[in-house]
Amino acid sequence: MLTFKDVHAGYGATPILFGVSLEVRPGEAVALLGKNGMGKTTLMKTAIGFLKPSRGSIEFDGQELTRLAPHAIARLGVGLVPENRRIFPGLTVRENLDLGLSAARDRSGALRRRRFEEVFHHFPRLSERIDQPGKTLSGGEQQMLAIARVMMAGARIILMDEPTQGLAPAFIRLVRDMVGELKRLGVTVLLVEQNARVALSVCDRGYIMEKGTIVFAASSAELRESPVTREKLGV
Amino acid sequence: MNFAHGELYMLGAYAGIAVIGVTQSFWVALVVAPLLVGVVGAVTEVATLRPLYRREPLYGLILTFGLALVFREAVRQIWGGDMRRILPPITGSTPLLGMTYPNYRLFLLGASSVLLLAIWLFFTQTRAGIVVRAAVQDAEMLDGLGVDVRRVFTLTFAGSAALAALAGLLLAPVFTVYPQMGVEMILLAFIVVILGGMGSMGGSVVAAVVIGLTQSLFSLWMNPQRVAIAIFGIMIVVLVVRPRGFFGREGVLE
Repeated sequence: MLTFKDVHAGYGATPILFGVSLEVRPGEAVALLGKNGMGKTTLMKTAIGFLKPSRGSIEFDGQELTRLAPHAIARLGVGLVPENRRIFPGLTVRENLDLGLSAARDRSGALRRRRFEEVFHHFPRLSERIDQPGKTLSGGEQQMLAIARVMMAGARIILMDEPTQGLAPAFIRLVRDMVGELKRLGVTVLLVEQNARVALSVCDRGYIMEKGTIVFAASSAELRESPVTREKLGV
Repeated sequence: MNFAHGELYMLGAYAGIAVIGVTQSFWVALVVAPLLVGVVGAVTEVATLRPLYRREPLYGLILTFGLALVFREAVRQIWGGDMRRILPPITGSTPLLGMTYPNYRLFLLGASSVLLLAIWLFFTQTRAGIVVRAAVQDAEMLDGLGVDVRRVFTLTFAGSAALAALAGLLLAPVFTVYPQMGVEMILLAFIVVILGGMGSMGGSVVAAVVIGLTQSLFSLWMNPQRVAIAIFGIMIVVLVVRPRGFFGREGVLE
């Protein structure tokens, strides 16, 4: 469904990715693990189009993404839950969610109502905060909003970048359960995490990234047991 | 930040003169001139500003400074540097609170209030307005959510150009029309925005009233040419006491 082939990318003269290849198949939840600064976030940015690879290809459902603008990629059904959440702080929860709808093909009132209902079913806390500005939400609530925002668009694959970073244990469990819930709903997930234990408890398989390349790929069960995981991630 | 905004205001008045010349109607010009300047704004944005968005904001600032010079000289070439007048489309006056007030000024009062309300409704109640606010906060993220932000920037620039033009034409019968008219206005506009607090619409309204009253009151016992000193004095005092202006919110400048 989402295939990276030999992706090279960087910022200006600083290369970060050195030929990353990985694949996410429909309906899977895949973990992308690795220490800080190994290129995980950079890879996510190339997938949504924030950063153009200098070499290699990224295909989504057979369509080449590397030439497309971010909004065109989002409209194909790719949803990003970015590092640090990046909700719009000055806009209310309702306005943030409405913007999430931008990537949806059908923007009728009926779809909008249905999506709001779905999102509030999963995140009742957001419905209580509907008219509050995003900046008044707690970190955990902002994370819910960032996830809900891409659910509004009906994204078919969701790229989550460190969604548990800085969250209290209750919210970490909530995010983890949400990944499982998305899988049940048929949404494919690529989950970037520092917290390997959480990621592997909910993902089918995973990749370990080091210094801009994939150094290990295995099922979650194997990754949990493997000495490579401990060595590469220091857990 | 757009230093050429005053020139778009000035272009509105000249476009108005051109349209009135053809149609003999101020009211037709009031609709057509802002549309024309809106198109000028859109073309300018696509051709000059768009390639600079990925660079530091300073580049855009210097560019608009240059654009202001280009617009001013272009107008001087086409229409000459003389002062011109547009006759008020509404004549007569009304006694009000012991003074007589020109009817056209009363019309301006109503028109600007309606415009202000319309702008406020646009930003808070319409999807397009929410998109513009989001683009200001995090344009890249907005693009990643499926919004073509390049188009948003172009349309926003065109819209603000049209609004500046509308203001230029509305005020032309009160002031005079000349190539430098935008320079004076933009200075006042910047002071109003800074005093009110960047990003605060209510703050701008309060600041505009304060500046307007100051201007009028000080003109009573000061050479009107020197009133600017009083206005800058107020700005300096306010910025020393409240660096973000009356209603400036934390973080808008970062």
